[in-house]
Amino acid sequence: MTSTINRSLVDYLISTDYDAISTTVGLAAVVALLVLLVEREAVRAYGGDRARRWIHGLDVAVLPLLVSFATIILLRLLQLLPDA
Amino acid sequence: MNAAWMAYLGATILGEIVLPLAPAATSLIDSAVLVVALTHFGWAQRSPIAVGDPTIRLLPALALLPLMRLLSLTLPVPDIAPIGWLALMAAPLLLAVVAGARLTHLDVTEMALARVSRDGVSILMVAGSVPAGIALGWLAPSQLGPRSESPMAFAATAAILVAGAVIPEELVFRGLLQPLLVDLIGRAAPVVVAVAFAATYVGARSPLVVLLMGGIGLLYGWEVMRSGSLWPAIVGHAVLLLSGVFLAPQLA
Repeated sequence: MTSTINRSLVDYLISTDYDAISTTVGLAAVVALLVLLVEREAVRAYGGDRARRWIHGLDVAVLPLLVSFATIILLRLLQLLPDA
Repeated sequence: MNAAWMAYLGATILGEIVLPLAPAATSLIDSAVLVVALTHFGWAQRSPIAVGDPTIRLLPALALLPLMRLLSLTLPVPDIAPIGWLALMAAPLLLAVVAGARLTHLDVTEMALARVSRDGVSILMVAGSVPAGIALGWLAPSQLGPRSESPMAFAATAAILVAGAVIPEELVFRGLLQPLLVDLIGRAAPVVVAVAFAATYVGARSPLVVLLMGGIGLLYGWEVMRSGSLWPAIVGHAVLLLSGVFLAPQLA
């Protein structure tokens, strides 16, 4: 039992089909990441000190979400590889 | 701006409360919206005065709470045991903590990492975490135990629990949030942090667990403030979690 993994979360993730999770929970996370990435690039185009600080602010969420996204893609690829 | 952090924290706590009541997507959408909103604090940084504003510094640290929930809902994948989900979360969470500390200009001294406290009170608090952990393990039987009886499985589980849960949680709550809140509200900061910490345990579906973790969060927060060291809280939290996962099932 931790702050991140609790009974409600485990029950939900075990009882729900992974495809259903991907198209609801996963989709919301991907949309959030896309919004942040698009904004990061738009802000970078302006340049300057304020834009730099703003990008650092966005990076607090962008970097962990990108690592998570890469992890999920890697794990899915590993699942698919034996079938290839 | 002072009301803004309270509104964001309230919305974060609300997201935790709805987790066991509504479909997880509700909590996730709340978390995603909060992460996006809280990382937009750059809008407010228009002048050098705003950069030093304690509320502005607090907002990106607050973003780490919904980000933790976002990661915990999206990273778990099928065919991997819940303890493996924690291992997957460790790297992104620690990355978020480092980015948050860098952005809020908190150094290791302000995060209470520079000093190691070994006085009697710290040792007593760590020792007291053993019965608290056993009580936690009885109230909410852990789903994070090792899958086999081998010493390697026990060691790997312990390492994942410390690296994936204890260290990120202590760094977020007592390392980042608490010192930034102290700048805003002074000595009441550990109480607010303890409430946020307890809210993340609402998903345990046990009021006693929420109360226990709220009390433990308050004790750890007070100890960090008293000793100026985060290490007793990290060690205490590790002892608490390991006691709950390994000792509680043996003593039940």
